[in-house]
Amino acid sequence: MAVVEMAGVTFIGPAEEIERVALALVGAESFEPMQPDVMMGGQPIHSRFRPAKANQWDALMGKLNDLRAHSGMKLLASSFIDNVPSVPFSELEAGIDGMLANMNSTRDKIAKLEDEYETSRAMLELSDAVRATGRKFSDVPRLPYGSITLGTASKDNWRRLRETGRAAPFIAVPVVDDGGKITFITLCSGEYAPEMEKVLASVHARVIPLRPEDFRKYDDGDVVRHRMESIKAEIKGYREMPDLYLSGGRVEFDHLYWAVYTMQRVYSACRMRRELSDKKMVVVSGWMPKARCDSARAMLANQAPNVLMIVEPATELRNEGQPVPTLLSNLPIIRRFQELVKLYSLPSYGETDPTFILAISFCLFFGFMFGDVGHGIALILGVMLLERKKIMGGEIAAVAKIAGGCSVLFGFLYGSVFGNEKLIHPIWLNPMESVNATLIAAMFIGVVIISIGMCLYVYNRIKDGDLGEALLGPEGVAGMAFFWIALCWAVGAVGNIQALKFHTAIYGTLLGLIFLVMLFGNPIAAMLFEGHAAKVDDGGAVHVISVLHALLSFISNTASFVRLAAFAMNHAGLCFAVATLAEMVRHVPGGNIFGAVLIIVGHLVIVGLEGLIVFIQTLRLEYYEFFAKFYRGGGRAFAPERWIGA
Amino acid sequence: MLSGGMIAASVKARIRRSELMGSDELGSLLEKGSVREIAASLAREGAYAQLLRGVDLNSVRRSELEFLMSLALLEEGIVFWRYIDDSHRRLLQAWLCTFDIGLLKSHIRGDAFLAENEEWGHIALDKAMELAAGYRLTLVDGDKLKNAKTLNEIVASVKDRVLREAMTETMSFEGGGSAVLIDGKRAQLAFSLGMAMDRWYFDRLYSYVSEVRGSEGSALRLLVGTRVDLVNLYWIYRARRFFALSPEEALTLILKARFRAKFDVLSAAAFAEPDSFSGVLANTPYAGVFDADPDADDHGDAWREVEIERNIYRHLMSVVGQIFTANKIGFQNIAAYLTLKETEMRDIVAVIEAARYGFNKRDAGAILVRAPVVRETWE
Repeated sequence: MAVVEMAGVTFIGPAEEIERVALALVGAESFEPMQPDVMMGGQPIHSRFRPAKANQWDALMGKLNDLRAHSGMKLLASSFIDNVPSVPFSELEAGIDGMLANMNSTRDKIAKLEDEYETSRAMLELSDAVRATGRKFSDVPRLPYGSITLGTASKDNWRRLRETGRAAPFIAVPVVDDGGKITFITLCSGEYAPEMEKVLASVHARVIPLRPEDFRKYDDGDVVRHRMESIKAEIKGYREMPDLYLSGGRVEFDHLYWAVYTMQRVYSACRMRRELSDKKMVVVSGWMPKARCDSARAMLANQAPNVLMIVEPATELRNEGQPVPTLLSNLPIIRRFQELVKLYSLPSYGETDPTFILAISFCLFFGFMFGDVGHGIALILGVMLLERKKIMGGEIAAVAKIAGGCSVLFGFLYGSVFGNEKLIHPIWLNPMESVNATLIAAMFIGVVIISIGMCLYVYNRIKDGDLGEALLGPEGVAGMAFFWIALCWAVGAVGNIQALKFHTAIYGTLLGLIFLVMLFGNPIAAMLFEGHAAKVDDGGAVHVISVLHALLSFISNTASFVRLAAFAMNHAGLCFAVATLAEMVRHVPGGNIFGAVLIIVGHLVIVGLEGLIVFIQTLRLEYYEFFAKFYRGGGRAFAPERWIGA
Repeated sequence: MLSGGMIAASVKARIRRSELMGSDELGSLLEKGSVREIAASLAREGAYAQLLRGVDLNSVRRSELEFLMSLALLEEGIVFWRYIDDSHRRLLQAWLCTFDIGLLKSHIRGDAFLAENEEWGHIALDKAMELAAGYRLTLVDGDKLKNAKTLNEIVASVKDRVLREAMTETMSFEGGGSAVLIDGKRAQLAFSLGMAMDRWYFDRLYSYVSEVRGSEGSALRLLVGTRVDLVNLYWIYRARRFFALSPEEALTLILKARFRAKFDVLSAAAFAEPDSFSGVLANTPYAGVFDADPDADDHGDAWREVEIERNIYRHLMSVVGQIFTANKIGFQNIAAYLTLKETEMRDIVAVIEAARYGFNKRDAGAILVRAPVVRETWE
């Protein structure tokens, strides 16, 4: 239940052993690469190591995926491969390039045949149209004053050409639309032909040259149709070739694919490496959970005895200004709430992980405000339905289901089932009948949560070595003392509790003294604690205002928790309103049906809308009243290299 | 329904707007005598300090500095990422694709710093990808682009099928593809590919904002639509005046998207003589954008091109002003802010180029979108 302790690790060793180390680290999903400069900076050896070029295996992987995509082949699934392939890069590359060359030559042939097919199709359509007018197609090129051009263009370029035709003296007519490309003819005067040529060039149209003898070829439509059939058959044959070619060596292809994939992952983990000019010695640095360092050492002893591993505590690196990544470790059920923490901001390295307290307080707040057995169950079922329909999922759905569970629990405490308070006996209280008790309970929760927040603030400041702020700051021990004394004074006076009733002067003096301590906290801390530098940047006026603001926020933060009681009562009130409306319509014709509809719709609105509002209010209390007391955030998630996810 | 996140993002956009560089700061930057002095000034404090961290200010080059400047838009855009919902993230991604396109253009051109200094090119790309971690570059596969040695491989790094096909079509038409990166003869192909990418970018962005409803949609259509119209008009103007293309050829270059300048306006502009181009637009919202500055000395076509570009940005700034004045919550605030940021970056790049090529400061000041107060020391 904390931010995992990290370490900066550097591996220095021969390239082939580093490859083995990197693969093991990818398998363990415990290593996030970083620039070795961070760890090697200032070392004399640093300048001898050069940064590595880009991952050459990426390109190879791309080529293999290209091959796969064009053959339509599906790979056999593979789990983590724990050995580095022995075939060298150049050999693998040559093999893949050979396969690609074959594939590309086939593709070129298909493209040529497709072009011929499309041209034939367009000319056939055109010749059929000309024949229908009673003329011979071969007469077309002899048009005395006109110029005709056949061409193809992408849809976008065709649109451009046609639009230009609206303002220019030519006609563009589509002949064949194959979905991706348009084959068209343009007609213009002979004088305009040179300009037409330029326009066609500027829309990147491919002009199909037409000689008079080409027109004669299309005079007999049956001959053309026959040729088109045979082109189709040829294209089909060529299309099946890559599949046949690859499926013949299916096992070899799979082996090749996973070998390249493995190396791509290895060099992804080593992408920030530095190497000596002969590339034989390599340095790889990265972040790793400190607890994994021992197993990494054991792995080195077995698999890479010549690799040196240097470990530096993350705290030291953080003090040097390096952004250490954050990895949270929580119990499975608590882990669900990490998403809510991330939504605000991940804790920075070294900061207290608030997930556990957030999980407990979230359940408490939500249940308190939305306590109802029926609505809780409806919420859980609703979330399950949304999960099934893939509208909702992941950790947020899990949190919503836990929230539903808390509603059920508080429903039993309140004795409420779909707003009906007579079905079961309340174990604790009924919010509508015990308004004062509900309000007091809400305020009590508020005081406890704010106090926990302040304690965490003190703890964090002590951890940072800032004793002055921890003891004398308005959010530190002094602030906490002020808060509690003021609270005792208020509770004693309002609740008429004798044990808390002291003379006003005593309370006044104590609060006044603490106020002065907070006001002059910085100079006092500078005198008392070695190394505490008085903060002068903000100026005195700003400091006074910030102290006053902190004191006022005690009141506003505590008062904010009244919403717990308000929403608990609001929930009961809404249920009452739905029941009353249903009762009112019961006396009109068809009233029973209207009443039933009203009850169903009303409760759906309560679960959906009120549930959402309570969810937001819960987060509001967490983020504004609780987190604001101690939490800074700003952390960056630990992102280790993984086998899956390339 | 607007979310709390969108309210926060809108407020953030307004706050960041107030932190943009003022005319005075731009003027001070213009005062600097060299690229290194400008880099040092930017690295000292302000929005660019973080981006320039770790850069050797004593040896920084113009191209390197300009590349780093281009990262600023991505950095700014990502700030809003966590606040907005999926539908708005789609818009933001479409908007920020301009960064991916910039990267692609650099690689296709074989920019000096990428081609001659491969190592720095890789570091720069890594820096961009690190910046985009958690957001992701949507259009380009960064690793593939980094490894690309040929134009075909660069195009293969484009993830969007439609754009990839458009680029492939352009390449197959102009006969490129297998040439290695360093090849000065590829300027024409690089230009055509750039046009294909820009067309894809603006058409897609406009189609996305066209789907947005309500006042948010109207404001976005006003901003993106104005830009689309100005791009169309500018491309026609450029094709006719600077490239001496025929009206028909100029018309084939424009975008599919139209806002207020419909095809009849665009074709009238294309068929008009370049000198009477402004007259055609007299009754449109874009009157004046293409007018020559009567007070400015005529420095030739290149100068005129920059002047028009400046006018276009100034017109866009007036639209941005309308959006902020309307005081409504929505993605339009983010879009308006990003437009302002882009304008600021354009001005800084202009200042850098003025220092690098020793332009007259008074002239350089005149081409900035946010005109600085002219100082007596400027010649």
